[in-house]
Amino acid sequence: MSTGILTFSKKLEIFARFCGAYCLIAVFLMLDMISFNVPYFNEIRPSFIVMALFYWSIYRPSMVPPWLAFLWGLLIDIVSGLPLGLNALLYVILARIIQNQRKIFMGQIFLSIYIGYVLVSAGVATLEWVIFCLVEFEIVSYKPVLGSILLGFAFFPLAFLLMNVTHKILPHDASMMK
Amino acid sequence: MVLGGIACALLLASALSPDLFTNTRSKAMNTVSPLIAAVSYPVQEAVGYVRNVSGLSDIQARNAALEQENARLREWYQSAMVLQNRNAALEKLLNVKVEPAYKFVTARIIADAGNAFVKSLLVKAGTNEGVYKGNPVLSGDGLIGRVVGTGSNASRILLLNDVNSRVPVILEENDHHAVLAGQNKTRPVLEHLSKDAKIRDGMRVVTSGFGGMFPPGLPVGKVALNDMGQYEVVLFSDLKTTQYVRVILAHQDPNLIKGDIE
Repeated sequence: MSTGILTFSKKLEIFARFCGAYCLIAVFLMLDMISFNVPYFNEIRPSFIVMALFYWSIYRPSMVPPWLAFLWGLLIDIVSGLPLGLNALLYVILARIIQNQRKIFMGQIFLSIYIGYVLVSAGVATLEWVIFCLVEFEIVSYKPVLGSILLGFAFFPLAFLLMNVTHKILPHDASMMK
Repeated sequence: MVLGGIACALLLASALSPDLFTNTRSKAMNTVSPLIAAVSYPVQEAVGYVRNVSGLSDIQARNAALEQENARLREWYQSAMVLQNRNAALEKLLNVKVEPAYKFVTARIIADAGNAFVKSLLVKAGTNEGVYKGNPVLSGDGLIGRVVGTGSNASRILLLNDVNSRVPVILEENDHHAVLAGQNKTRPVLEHLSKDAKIRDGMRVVTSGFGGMFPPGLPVGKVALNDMGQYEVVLFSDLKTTQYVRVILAHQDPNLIKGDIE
């Protein structure tokens, strides 16, 4: 572990590295909200922010504190017109559970992480569907949810790769940011 | 725990009183809509470019089909002009109260909140442009929904196929009334049809104007019978490739007499 006083340029460098990681998360958030004009894609669009929450809750929990997960969920709810608090609740629960269980995933090969994501994302999407049906007093079709889950499985390896790259450029000791 | 509790409270409040957070949503939508619009524009342009390039092989066939349709429509144009003049003369003769012409504002779609649960859009037009809650919204070919939330420069449109959408409609051929109900699927269904209604595939469906939410006569779609024996409506509008919509602005009906109480 390095010691000593950090110069201004070093602090700036560390800040820029963290900005890069958060910029990627911001891109994922945007991908969950913007319109793509691709037929049927918007209905089965995977949740990229769930991928980000899953990854960073395992490898760098300080990047995704519960209050940030709450705000992201609230923003998604506001923009997408979902009942307020739906995704906020799910993301807070997801972040908390993954952070508490991160020791299971730490040091594992990608396949184990991928299987973990498959289970987590399917659970989150299904829970979202159940809560939405309860709030609306109507059972909506599960097929788009299933499509979204399957598409998420396809996109996760790429998202993992990108997040891994940004993770590698982050300083090893988070206390260096203080 | 605290955040989870707050989220649960918000969810419960949204479930019990959906309009409770309308102002908050509008203000938040207003704040983020410029950023979403800025980010979505290049993405939409890129998707449109890819679609145009990859569809070059279909352009010739489409061009030929459009030329034929254009020739057919030119014939209809002449008939329509004759009918229009005749209609105006008859209305004058009978002293019919004519519906005022509607004003529109064109808005770009900046976010498609059409996920698995909610079918809605965010468009870049709000109260600054005269858009208010309840305004009907059309695409190029027909009705797509109505405004359910507005900010000063952005609005949310609830689409016809959303599970919360209910629109009073009428079958043009036989004047049978029904309610167009969204089911979160591609095609909404017709509900509250009378049992003796004679319906066939292909019948045009337009808004009836009942309830005052939608002006009468707005094109909606055509009837189709599905496998479950329900009458679905194939919407005229195709949002898959639409980037712009038209919002019908509220208008003052000159036929109404002003009352003393505002």
